[in-house]
Amino acid sequence: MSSDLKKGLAAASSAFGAFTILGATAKGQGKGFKVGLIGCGGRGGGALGDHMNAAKRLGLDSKVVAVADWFKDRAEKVGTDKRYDVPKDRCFHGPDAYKKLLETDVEIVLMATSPNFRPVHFEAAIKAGKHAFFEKPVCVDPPGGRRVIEAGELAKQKGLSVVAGTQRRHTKGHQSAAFEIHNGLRGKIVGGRIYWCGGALWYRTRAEGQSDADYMVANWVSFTEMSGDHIVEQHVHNIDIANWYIGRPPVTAAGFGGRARRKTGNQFDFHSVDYDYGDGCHIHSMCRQVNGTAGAGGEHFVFNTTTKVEKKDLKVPEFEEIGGATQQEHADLLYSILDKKPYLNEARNVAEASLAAVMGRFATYTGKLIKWDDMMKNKDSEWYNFTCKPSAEDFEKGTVKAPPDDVAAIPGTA
Amino acid sequence: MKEGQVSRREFMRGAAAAGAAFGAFTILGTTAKGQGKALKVALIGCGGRGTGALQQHVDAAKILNDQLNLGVEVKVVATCDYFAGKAKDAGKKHGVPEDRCFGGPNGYKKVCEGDADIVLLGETPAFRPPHFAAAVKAGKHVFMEKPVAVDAPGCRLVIEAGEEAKKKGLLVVAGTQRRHEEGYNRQAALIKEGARGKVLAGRVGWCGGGWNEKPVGELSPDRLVSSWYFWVQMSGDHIVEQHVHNLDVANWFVGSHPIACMAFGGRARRRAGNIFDFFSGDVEYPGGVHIHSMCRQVNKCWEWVSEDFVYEKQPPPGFKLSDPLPYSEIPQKTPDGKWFGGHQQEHVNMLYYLAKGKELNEARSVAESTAVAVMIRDSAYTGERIEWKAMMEDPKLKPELYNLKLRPSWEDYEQGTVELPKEGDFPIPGKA
Repeated sequence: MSSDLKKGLAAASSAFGAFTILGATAKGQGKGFKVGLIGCGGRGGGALGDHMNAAKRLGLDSKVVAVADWFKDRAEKVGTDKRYDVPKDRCFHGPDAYKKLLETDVEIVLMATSPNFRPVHFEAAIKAGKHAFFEKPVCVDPPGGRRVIEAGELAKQKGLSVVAGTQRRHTKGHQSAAFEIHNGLRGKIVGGRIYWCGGALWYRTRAEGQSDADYMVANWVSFTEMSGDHIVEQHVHNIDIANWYIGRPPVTAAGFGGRARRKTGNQFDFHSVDYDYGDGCHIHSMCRQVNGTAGAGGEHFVFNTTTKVEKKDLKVPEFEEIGGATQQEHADLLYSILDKKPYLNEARNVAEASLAAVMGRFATYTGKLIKWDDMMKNKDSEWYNFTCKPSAEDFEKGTVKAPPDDVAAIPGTA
Repeated sequence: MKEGQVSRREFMRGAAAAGAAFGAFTILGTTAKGQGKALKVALIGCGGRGTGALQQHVDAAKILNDQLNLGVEVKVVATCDYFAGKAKDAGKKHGVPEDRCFGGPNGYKKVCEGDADIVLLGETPAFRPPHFAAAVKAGKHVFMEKPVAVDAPGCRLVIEAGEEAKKKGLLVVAGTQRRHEEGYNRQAALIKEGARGKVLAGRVGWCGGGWNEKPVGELSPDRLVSSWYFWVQMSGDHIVEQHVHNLDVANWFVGSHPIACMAFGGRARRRAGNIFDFFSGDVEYPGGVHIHSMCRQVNKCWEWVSEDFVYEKQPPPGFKLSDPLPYSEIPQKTPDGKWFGGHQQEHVNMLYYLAKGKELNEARSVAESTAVAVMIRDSAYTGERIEWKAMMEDPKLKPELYNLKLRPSWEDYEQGTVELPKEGDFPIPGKA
């Protein structure tokens, strides 16, 4: 552990009190953490359940102390769940609910609102000294992604643990594969395919008299500005694996996509992207959300087996997997906080996976070849500065104007 | 062919090598004895590509005579086009009498009844299968433009006729001209001789600009033919019409046709007809080799026309091919060192092979490449994963796919039962 990290731990003393007690004394009477949830939708509620179960398995007596959501009923529904029993005055709602939650004594914050809010929430959580679990994707545009990376660096300095909802990084199978690949046991990755092709997702139509902001939040999986489009929102899982196994984010993306059947919002429902990872390695990414079409899933890599390395003494470690990957990721967060395993900070990984997905979306929306450096380094590039509007700030300021339904991007020019 | 111009020894050697299987050439040889006889060539399909091919064919003879003193003489004896006027225009340029310039959907039959030795096929792709089958049946050597069909039954008809051509010793050369370019042949030879190891993966693309076309507007059977590019029933869509070149290289280098594909596509900017303007799909070959196929015709987008494969290894230093490259004995450059390019080279090679009595039959390769494009197209149109076996080989697996014939078809044109498609009525994959 770095000295910086130790300093950070000292600073976060109250949180680590729990660990000391747990470590020094015994199971059964172990203390736990104060947990808060921002974003009380299906995934948020699920993540909270997973977290609390993981805590219990680790012998921690954690407690949910606050929840927050855009909608009052959503916040209260999760908060007042018998398992959590959060007082109503700790069930925050509205655009600044996350701020109120972060002002409480919460120690670990789970973030699962729609992805467009994530950079703001994450940054605020880290600045407030909270450990973080945040759902994927973590941004919808390059400024958001860079903000997450920066906040992630800050978390490192502060010794705050960060785990992301790219749960494949917490499964035995993927971890073993990554270990083998990174040690050269399978040979170099020279190509591959990653898929998330399935049926249509849910969607909501605008309720009578519903404000633009409320409609967009309620129907977030249909709007690019909220979810990043399904290539970002869903396919990010598979892209993350490609980044992880190959060991770097892609250099460019060229893509093809469209809107075949989607009913609301402005997203596409299919994308097919050629990701160039450099060094001759291309990954073909395909994702689709259209009913009645062929399904496909997973990550399939091509190895040049002639480059395999023999390491007879190297043993693939036994990776733990308790209660499935979505619970394991919370266990791993807790291990990191408790210093039972090496410090964990997945901010950059998940930001880069989200950004790679954003790059793919730019490619399919415009038909252009999009360069990673134009999003990440070249400050004069339109992609560096590209911000989805309405942005998270618009939602806080109340300046949201919803884009029209069923008007999607068209690549190229007429 | 003037007395003395031909190297008679070379001529006869070619004839002998061709043997009995090489019927047409034998005829040429026997009747030509002493007096010389021009190769009679006819063109079916007098559009831009067809007339271009004819000119290249004529020029090919000149190249062979100039550079190898081969004494090949080519005489254009007939032309044919759906539109009689086009046939006449093309015929005029080459001194073809008007009564040998045929029009209408059945004009090709008259060409095949005629005395042409070689027929060049450059008509709308939808019409290629019957044209090719008829030409082979009539014992003609064939050059045919790509693609060679717009649907699976069409592709199979071409494969069958190609087999017949083989039996008859007829030359069949296709307009997939990369197969006649030295660079491609060199790479193919390196692969064949093991210098690159296995092909592990790859990408092939024809991504270029749009056509800025206007809607076709009021439609008639004639208008459908004259605006053929924009109708799937006529051109097969641009993936079939254009991208087939790159897919052909994939089949060639991987060494097989694919086993399945899953593709996406759409119509982003196109205004005419009913075809898409982009496709992107995963094409699966035997042995776990996957090729990403991409094609687009939309302005101001990423442009990439190429084939890029991942191999196990680089050729070992100092590696030398053990066999000469195909066509390496044939002129490939102008006297001042400029490459002819594939379009010209394929005709030079064809006439050389004909003169030398060598065998060449590209019917299957071009039909299979066309079928790959059809397969990807139909996957993008429907959203389904399509298997080669079901589309091309086993009628029982998915009869509706195996038998899927686009209409109006060439039969509809020949029989006058054309039902017109609707402009802008393009497929949407999946279900609502």
